[in-house]
Amino acid sequence: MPQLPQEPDEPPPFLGTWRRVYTAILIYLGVLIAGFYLFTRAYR
Amino acid sequence: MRNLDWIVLVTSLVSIVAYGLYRSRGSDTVDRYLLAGRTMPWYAMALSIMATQASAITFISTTGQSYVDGMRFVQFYFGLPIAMVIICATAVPLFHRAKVYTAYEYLEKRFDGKTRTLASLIFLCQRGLSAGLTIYAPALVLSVILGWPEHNHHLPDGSHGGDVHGARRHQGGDVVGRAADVHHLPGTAGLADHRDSCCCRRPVSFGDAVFLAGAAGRLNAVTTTFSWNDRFNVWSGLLGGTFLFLSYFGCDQSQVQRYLTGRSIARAAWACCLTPWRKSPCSSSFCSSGRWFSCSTSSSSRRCCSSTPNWRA
Repeated sequence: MPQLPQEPDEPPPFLGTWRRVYTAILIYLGVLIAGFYLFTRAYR
Repeated sequence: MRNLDWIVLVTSLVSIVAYGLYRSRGSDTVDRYLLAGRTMPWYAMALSIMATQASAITFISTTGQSYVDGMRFVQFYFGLPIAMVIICATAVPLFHRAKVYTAYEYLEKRFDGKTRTLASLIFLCQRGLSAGLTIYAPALVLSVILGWPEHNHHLPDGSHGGDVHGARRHQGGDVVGRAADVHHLPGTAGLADHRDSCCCRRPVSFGDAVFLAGAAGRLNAVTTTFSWNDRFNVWSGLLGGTFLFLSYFGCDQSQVQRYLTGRSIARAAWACCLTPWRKSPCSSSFCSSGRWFSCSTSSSSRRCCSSTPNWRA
């Protein structure tokens, strides 16, 4: 049985930890959806 | 085609092949051939991952999809950031620590040779069919532009798409290709404007185009209504898109090979993390181009019959 994958062994170049990088990506997704939603509402 | 167009076309084809040959020097071992010796920098991996997702058919089909159906298609990419977080936390460390050359080699280590063979065959069949379409679609466009039979374009398209020089040449070409892609979007908008000018000799303003598209209900970038019969809404994008991109980035060798070329897990994961930041805005730009085409052509055809256009009245 192979070992379960672990977090990358080095810190990312920016934001310090991988948890912060993943959080930033998910926040970006939220902002993206909100932006497109507002765009849709504005030009409906 | 003017002389300048021919020069650009031939120069780009020749320079990409020449650059690939130059970059492929020294790929004399399996490790260097398949994984570029695991020496690729994170930015080359990131650009290569993005380039692999954007073939010539992306520029054609995404724009065409938006022309017909509005901007709903961008929701398809909402699952990409979620999938990339999962891939970075699971698949990237897994493949790197297993020291494999391909995703299918890992399947053999984890299960057996039959599983590897089956998965490889499915990948090759699916990729072969996909490559056929990817080559055929630009050939159709070129045949229209040049007025040549379609089959004459398959050979140069195939030689452009073919790759026998290993990962280093492929990723080097991808980096150059991504840089060239930056010029495609203004080019598309320019083509729309050109077509509009050909029809009426008067360009459509940006405000008119947005107004027309909104009035026609085509600026529908987000649909929150859930329906099993609706292919593109925010829920299908988040759920279906996540699983689709998980399978694509976690199992498809065309993607796995990209992040296996990194020196470390962290660099490969960082390259994957950069993908969502570019992909969604890029796709919305393609869709906007399609909308611009649609508004330009529809308003042009109406305006040709009217000497006093006032779309907002």
